[in-house]
Amino acid sequence: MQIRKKITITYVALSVFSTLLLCIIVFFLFRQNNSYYFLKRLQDRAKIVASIHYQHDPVKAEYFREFKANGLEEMINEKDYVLRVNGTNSFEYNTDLHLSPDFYQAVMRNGSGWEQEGQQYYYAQIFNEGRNQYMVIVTARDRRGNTSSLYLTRIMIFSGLAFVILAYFLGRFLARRVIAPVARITKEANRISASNLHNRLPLAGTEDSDEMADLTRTFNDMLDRLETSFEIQANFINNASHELKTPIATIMAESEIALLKERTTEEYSASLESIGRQATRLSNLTESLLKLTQTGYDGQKQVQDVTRIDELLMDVKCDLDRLYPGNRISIILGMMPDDDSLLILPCNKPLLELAIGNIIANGVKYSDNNEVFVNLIVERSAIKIVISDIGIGIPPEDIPYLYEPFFRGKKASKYTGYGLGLPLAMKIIRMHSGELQVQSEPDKGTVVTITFSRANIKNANVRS
Amino acid sequence: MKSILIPSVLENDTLHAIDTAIKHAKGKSTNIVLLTLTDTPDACSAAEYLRKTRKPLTAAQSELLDECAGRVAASANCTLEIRHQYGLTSALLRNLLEYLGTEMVILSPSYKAEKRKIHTYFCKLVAGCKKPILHLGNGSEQPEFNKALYIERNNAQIDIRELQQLVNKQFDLRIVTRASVAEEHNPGGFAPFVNEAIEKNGIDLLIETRKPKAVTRRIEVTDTYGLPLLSIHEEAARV
Repeated sequence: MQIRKKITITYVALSVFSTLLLCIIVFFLFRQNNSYYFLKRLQDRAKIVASIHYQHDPVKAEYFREFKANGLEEMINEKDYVLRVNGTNSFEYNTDLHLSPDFYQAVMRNGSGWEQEGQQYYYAQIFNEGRNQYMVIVTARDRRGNTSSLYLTRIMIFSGLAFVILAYFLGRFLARRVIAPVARITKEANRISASNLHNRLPLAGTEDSDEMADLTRTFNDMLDRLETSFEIQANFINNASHELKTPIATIMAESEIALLKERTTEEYSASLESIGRQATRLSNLTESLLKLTQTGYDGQKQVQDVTRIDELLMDVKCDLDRLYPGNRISIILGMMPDDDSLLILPCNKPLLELAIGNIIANGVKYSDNNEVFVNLIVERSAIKIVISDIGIGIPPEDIPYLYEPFFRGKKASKYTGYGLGLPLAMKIIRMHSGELQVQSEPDKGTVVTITFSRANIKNANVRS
Repeated sequence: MKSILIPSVLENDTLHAIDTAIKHAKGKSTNIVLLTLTDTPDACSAAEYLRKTRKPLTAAQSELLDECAGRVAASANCTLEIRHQYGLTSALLRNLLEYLGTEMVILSPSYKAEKRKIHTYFCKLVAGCKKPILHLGNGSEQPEFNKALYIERNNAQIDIRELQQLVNKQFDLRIVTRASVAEEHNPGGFAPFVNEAIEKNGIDLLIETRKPKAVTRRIEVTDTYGLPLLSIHEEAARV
């Protein structure tokens, strides 16, 4: 059954139940109230009957009789009896009365009492006249109370039926209101497909912290991961070609130089070692990119390198020194913490080297080999790498497209490149639960900040 | 002076444990305590008790002990102490470790394979104490303990930074790889990844953490990869 129907049925059932309960309580209280006021009337009559009985003056006695007969509202089947009480447990008996012994005992004990037989009420009260005691019993039939009860029951039944119908429509309205956010999410999610994975579900408000907002956020995070996986798979060949060409170029250059003329054994050894290192790098990169394509980020089976970020930056610098001899890259290890362990970063080392290397290489390329500063800032809560250059900068209109594969800005198109380095770097950093921020001003330079927050480093098995 | 405890059933791999302890000492003054455990025998009298507890060693066992003593004597900085313990309780073990100033316990494969109740009880008790436990692998080569791979379970409460600090208090090794595995998955399921990391990075030691209610089921990890396993108690980081 649909959730909407379930909500409606549940609402109707609960409403009917609570209304029924209310009706039952009201009915019983009403009947109790009726009985109470009827007995009050009988009590008043009992007092008058007692007064008549005690009255020695016949005029006054007649007055009371007149008052009882004409002054008070008529009661149906009204009769009164006066029984003389002879002792603690004995009194005159009237054969017209067919009341239970328990009733008489209760009256003798408590001084008054009442009993009901169907609609006929019996009220008894003990009166003292000097040394004598009398039991006055007044009886009458409460037809009006019964009529009122029936009338109330009829109202409740018809109202109840009307209320059930109202509850049904209200239930449907409630179900629609409750399910509407889910229906909205479903509608939005249906629009998202493999071809437009960059779409995200809209959040109602930034302060929203209800369950639907949580669901929306979780869904968006899942889309982040899916998009990363899809794009990495889709761009594998592009990424592989882009990244592998550098070590291949180095190997080719190294071997060409070595073959240019006769060289000493040591020089050949050095060349072969360099070629060997580049080949190893090629192998590592291929493996890493292949794994990236095959598995994405599988938090359950993840083997990561545990590296020091300062060493990683130094390794990147060494690689870039080979690629761009005469570069002006400066690694600035500012205020290093006393606690070395703050520098530790679990990561996929070849990929992270690749990502940071790409960003620094962009700085070198687009600043025409001007100075590029790589600042490492290590805090208790995060590791930050700030790469700044004094280059051509990025026009504001290009910033939204920076991470689109193959995108090249107008200014950047004058330089060689394919528009793949930064998108891949961004994916790799995101894979490491890091953040990448780019700030730039045309003709002034660019500042790229990579942040790895400590909470994300700690929670290795949490989402990427 | 450092102190390393080696419970033993006087099998041949005790020598490997002694060599590992000497290597771990790294020139620092170290007392290696070789502990044999026996159940308290039932006896009607003190004399009968003494008779039952004084069991002579076999020729092979005596030879082994001599060999151990010889190897320790050959190292300039280590001393060997042989203790025979009869009966075991948690309080006794706790006090013994405190008295000896034990910094590490080395468990050899033959000892962990023992089925006798006192040895299994010892393994259970020592897993609950906060000392690092080095489970030796099946290989006979002396590991260098330079590079370690940390096997992280998803319910581990200690992060890599804290663990590196803790390990550096006693060891000169570096954690170069971390393998994260979800608890509900069979650890062997990701063995190929770990084997590859071990080979690629030249790993010679595995590290994992244990919780206060640790069990000995981690033994199969060592059997799978053939490397020694250093088990660190998570609460030791907070001491």
